[in-house]
Amino acid sequence: MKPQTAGRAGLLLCPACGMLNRCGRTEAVSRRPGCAHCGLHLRARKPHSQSRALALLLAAAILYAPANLLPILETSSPFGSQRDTIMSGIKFLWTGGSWPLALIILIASILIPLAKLLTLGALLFSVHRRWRGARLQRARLYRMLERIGRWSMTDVFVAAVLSKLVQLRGLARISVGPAAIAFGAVVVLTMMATRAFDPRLIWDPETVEA
Amino acid sequence: MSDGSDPPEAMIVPRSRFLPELIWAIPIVAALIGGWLAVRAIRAHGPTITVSFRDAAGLVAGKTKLKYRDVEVGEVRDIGFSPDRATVVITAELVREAEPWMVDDTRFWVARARVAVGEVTGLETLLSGAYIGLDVGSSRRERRDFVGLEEVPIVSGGTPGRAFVARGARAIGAGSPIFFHHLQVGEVTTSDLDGDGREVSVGMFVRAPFDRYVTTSTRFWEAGGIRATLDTAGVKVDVESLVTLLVGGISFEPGPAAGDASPAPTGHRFVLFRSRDDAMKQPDTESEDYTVVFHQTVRGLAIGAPVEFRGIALGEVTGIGLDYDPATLDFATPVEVRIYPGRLRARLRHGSLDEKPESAPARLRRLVDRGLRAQLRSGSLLTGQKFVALDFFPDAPRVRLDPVRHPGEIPALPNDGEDLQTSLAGAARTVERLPLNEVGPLIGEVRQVLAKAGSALSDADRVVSQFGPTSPQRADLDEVLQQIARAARSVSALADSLERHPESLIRGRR
Repeated sequence: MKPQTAGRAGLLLCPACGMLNRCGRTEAVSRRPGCAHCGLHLRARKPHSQSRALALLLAAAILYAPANLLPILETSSPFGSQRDTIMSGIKFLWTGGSWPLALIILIASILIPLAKLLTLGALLFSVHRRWRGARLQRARLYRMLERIGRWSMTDVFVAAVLSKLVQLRGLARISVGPAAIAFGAVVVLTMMATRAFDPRLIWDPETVEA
Repeated sequence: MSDGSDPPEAMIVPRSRFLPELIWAIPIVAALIGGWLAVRAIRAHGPTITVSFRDAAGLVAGKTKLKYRDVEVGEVRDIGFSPDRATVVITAELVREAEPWMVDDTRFWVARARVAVGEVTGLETLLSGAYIGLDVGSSRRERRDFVGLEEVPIVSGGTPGRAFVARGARAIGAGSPIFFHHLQVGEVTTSDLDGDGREVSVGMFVRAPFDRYVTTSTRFWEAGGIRATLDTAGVKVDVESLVTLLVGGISFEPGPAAGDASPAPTGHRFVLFRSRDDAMKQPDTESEDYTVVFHQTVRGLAIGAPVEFRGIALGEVTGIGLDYDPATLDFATPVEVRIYPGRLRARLRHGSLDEKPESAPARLRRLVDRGLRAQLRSGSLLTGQKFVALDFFPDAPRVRLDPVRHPGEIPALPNDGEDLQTSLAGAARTVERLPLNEVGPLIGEVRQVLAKAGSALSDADRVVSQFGPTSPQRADLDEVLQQIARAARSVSALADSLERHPESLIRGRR
């Protein structure tokens, strides 16, 4: 039993207006390009989904290293100046007793980006190898990936707010370190990679084989 | 499809072949950025060094900075112990610029707030905590493991100026000021006992431009505290500055023979004199030792007391001894003196001391023959300090000198009469004992005698004027003679009485 999909039926669903279009075989059948109803470019799959997602994912993975190794916050006060990486900040919070906060930052800033990188990588790999197992789980994984994407920005947000708020001239100064930019880039790039990835590819091998 | 109207056919547009490849620019850019950040991080990553300290008070791993001239150049990464646990070993990471600074004589110290007399430093460490200061050395040998200083160095490297060493008898606290004409021009950097433990080497740093006033003939002396000098000239109190009053210090001035002096090289060794007077003395290059044997008390004569020739300080007393002759049971106090002929020579305006080249004993003999004698004199009534005075006494009894005695002897001449203190004390004692109220009767008797003598003399006067062998005054003369005889008897009785009781002159007759 093969499920009926739009693709197999030779149809395209316009994501904007919901109109079904038939896949044209020749060029000059219709006068207008795109969706016959609203003119949107219709695609059976996101174009170059795999290579785009892979490229963005790769860029995110590269920037993940400086994001974690370089200082994200530079604090200077009469009590001394300090450069904190994400990890040292977590360590400081943990030893300082506020371990719930440390846990939140650890999850939001280190584990989630890492998880995103790994799962998206795994999804890409599975699609590339045309795996057939655990499709439902992979589809759920992807949906979760999309949902948690924005949460990682808390760190950058906190750093940006602090650096603007704490500017006691001559007394204390907090500035954003190079890691903040890298970290922001990681988050944005993973979100873009997730967007570029077409979850329909997870189901495709069956369709193709069929 | 099943429900009536077929969906319209969409036009197929061929894909651009170029755009999809453009997406790979993103990871390339990311790689470039990441690579650049990595290269920057690696480049900023300087050498890792270890510094050992006695303790790590105030040092925090990952927090304490290393600062060179108050610029942050590194951070303490780890604090541990040496294998024998004798010292604390700090592992620190420095910035890349500091790489060539890590040489053999680079110094490290823990900078804490320091409140010394005259200056307060490191107050900022009260808020920010201690930091490790470093001072870049000038050596070329690289080094990565250092031994930290326990004290903050007084003078940081690179301060223009020159360092010198003064050897003296007493230590001067590090950080004590160095004065030149009462102007602070430097600091004492170290104070260390010499290897043989006899003297103290005081390291000094004189800042530019004052260091050019330090020449090879410059004299340094201790300017510490109140210098109260008690000598034959009386009491002298001298204070350099209020700071030296508390912590001591060093002053310097050009020496007496500064004209031909060249600037002193770095590390030049000077002598640290006890006082300005000591420092400014002519350098006594040649000296002659003599002995003066006194047969009187030498109370008030101290070692170092001056030896003067007609008021000119020629030398000093170097030793006071005691001789005992068992045959005669006689004690004598030989006083050793050191004479610096150079001082006499320096004051000589005409003639020369070296006219006749002759041996010192021969010259001494000739001088003694001319009457050269040594006397013990009081320099100050107030303090009872004594000094040895040399002078010529042509009337002094001739003495025979022991020609083989060494050091040569200058004969002593007692001068009890000049011993003002002794004679004054004796006089005071006599006056104290005078029983003035008991002298009365004795005085009355003396008056009687004098009255009789007076009348006798007037009688004699008359006799002399009217004398004649046959004159009628002959009888009177007889009477006068009898009166004189009576008077003489009275005087003789008084003389007898006085001879038997001489004390009655003072105490009266009993």
